[in-house]
Amino acid sequence: MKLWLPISILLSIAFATIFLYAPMEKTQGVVQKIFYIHVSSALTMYVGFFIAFVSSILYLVKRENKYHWRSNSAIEVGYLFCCIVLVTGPTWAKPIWGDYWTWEPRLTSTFILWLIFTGYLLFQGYLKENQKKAPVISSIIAIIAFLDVPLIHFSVRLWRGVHPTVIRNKDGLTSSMTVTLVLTLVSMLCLFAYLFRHRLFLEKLEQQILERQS
Amino acid sequence: MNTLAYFMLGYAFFLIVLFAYLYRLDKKQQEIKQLLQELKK
Repeated sequence: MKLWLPISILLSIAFATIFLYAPMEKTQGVVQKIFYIHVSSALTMYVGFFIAFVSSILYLVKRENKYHWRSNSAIEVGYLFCCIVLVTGPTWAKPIWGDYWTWEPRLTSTFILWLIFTGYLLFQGYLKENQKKAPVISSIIAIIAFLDVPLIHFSVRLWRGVHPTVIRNKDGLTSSMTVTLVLTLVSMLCLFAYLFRHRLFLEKLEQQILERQS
Repeated sequence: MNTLAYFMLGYAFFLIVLFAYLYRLDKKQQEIKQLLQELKK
């Protein structure tokens, strides 16, 4: 069964809910609706980097290639969601804060995470030439990089940043906003699962070809 | 720019990134298929 079809339908329903069902926020107006895609992409990014973190630890313990492939694929798809977070955030911030970017703790720590994984992905080409060392170095980078994720999450409380934390705030979301957020999050996680599965399949095939060639 | 423009910009970026990545995966799949066919020969 083609998985892209139910995922496309789910995403379309989530988008329709955002556009038609979610209420308009009184002070921010329509731009607040970026919130649904911004927050759900951020949580999906956490999931992706967590999978990479666990897979990297398992690789270092068991030294089985499948864990390295999982880590690699999860990082690539997680990075995609990280890019979405880093662009949708400033697009929302400009009309509300008056500026695209401030060097606020959560924004800065997310940017650091993006830089680490940009480096990771850029080095993959070089690391593939050093087949023996590549998985070990990649796993160590993935584990160290993941340490930034809890920092991102708790940075607002730790360093009193200006980034809003509406989910923990009891008066932050109405019930219809919560329904929309949950639906968007579920569809984003399904999208992540689909992309991750597809990427992992390609990674396995590519490695098998490389092994045959060498 | 009004808030609607920023809102549209945010969603447009999401869709562009998603389709660009799907295109990249598809291209990679084609390359791998080609390599597999060459190996079979």
